[in-house]
Amino acid sequence: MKAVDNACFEVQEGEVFGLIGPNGAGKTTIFGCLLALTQPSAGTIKIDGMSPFDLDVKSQLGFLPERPCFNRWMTIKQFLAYHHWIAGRPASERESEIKRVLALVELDIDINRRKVKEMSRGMLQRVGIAQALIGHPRIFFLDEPTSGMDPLGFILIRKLLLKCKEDGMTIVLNSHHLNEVEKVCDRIAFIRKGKIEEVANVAALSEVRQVLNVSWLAGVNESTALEAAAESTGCKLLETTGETAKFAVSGNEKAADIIASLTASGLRVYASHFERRELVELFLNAPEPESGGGGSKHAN
Amino acid sequence: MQTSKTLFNPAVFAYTLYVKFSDRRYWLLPLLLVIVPSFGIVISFVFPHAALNDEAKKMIAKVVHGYILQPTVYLLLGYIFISDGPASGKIVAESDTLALLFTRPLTRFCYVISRYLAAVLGTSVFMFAAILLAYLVGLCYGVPYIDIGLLTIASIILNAASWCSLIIVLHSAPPLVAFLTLFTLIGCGGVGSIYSQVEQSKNVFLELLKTISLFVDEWFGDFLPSSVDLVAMTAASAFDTYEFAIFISNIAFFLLIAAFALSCREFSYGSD
Repeated sequence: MKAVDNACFEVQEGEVFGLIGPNGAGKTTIFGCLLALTQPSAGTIKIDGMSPFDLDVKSQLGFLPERPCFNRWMTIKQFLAYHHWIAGRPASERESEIKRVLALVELDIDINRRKVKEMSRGMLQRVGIAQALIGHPRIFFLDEPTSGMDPLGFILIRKLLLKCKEDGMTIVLNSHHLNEVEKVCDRIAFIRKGKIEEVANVAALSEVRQVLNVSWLAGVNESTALEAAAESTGCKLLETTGETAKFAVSGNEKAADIIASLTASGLRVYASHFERRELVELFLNAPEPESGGGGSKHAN
Repeated sequence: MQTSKTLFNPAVFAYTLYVKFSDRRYWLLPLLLVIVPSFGIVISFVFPHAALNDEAKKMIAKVVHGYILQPTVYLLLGYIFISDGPASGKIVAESDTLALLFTRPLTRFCYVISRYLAAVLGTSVFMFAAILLAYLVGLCYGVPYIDIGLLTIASIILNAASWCSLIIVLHSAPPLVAFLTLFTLIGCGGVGSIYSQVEQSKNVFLELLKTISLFVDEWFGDFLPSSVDLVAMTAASAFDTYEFAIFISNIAFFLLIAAFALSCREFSYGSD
């Protein structure tokens, strides 16, 4: 059994960093290590140059767990006050801070009197986010923040994360909703079987994500022409279906080069257009990593 | 600066001690336990009876005093304070709840100590309330012998400290370890004590069970939490320092086990 192996990444201050990968990739274990809930058996983790177990680090963290399992007997107010107090924030700010975080997650102040056990899944998720934001954390860890939320909740999370980003907060996000990840993240790490396959800049990724769809009239030996075009331009041939092919391109120049190459090979191109590849498609097409050593919970 | 943060957390202390009592349901069991001794006195006087002499009244006072030595009462009160919420019926802390807590600037040792101290204080307050109420009811019925002196109060605090140390171990350990600890300490210890009173049986299986239980009791018996009665101990010709030292060391031992068990727990709050 291997729970993460040699994951290795850095998060810059003030950026929104997404961690995406299939189930069992080790995302939650990595979060556990970052949050000092699990001790890595090898490797090092530093947050602001300090160990995650350092209380000074913890006092700057906010965390939203995947499953909002909170003390069921508490009222929302008690729950938020408890976390404000444990976070070591001054008692004089408690009331105003609770109001502030409830407003951020668009929950009515009257909800204060309701108990955790009376809340729906989506509402609990909002309360969880309010809890994480209490006390103005500098670093914000979110594990599946949109889990159990309705479409309005999705929009709320997006707005909230963008606001936190504006405020200079460093955000580490773990989510299966890749489109949501794409909308808020500056960089994304693809993780599979405990290995970080790639850390990509989202802005640069949108360039790579263009797909050129080319159609031609049947006639010449297409496969030779297609391979030649791919090789000469350095663009990946994604698929061919009859008289249609798809290339991964990184801009208009490359697209023009492909069409020129195909035409030069004698292919009678009659139509071409750009398609947008979803992030998930990129992720699924990524090659499987080679299996590494048998270590566990390695994190650098 | 960090040292103070690692020893005691007022938030954990306060929430363990009183915040859950904002839900009135949590008052039910503690209040029942508070009125039990007084109820006993009332019952013994409401039924027709001959006039009680001093000896009988002293006997009533002795029985009431025995209440402060009852492990069950301390265990129930300790459970109310330490558990994550008695309504859920869980004594072992839920991993998810703790996981969120330990992302905050709170060490596990600090959590154990803060929660334990709150439980000891809360349990002691309810126990003292029970004895005080019994004392007042006793006065009403002409029984002035119920002791509410300093030694009684000290005994209550020490007994609360002793039995709450067991509860905090059960709370901190993973569920399986908690169950095994309880089974080993209470089960084997208890059975060993009972069997030691039983005469030799012809049943081979029972004899084997008795031998095993006595063996475990011999080895683990001294590690069991126990109750002390300082009133009786100081009244004895010589204060049993050895017994008292074992009592105190057991509390420290259980607290260390609790802190160690919690430190060893790896928290998973979800699945990949």
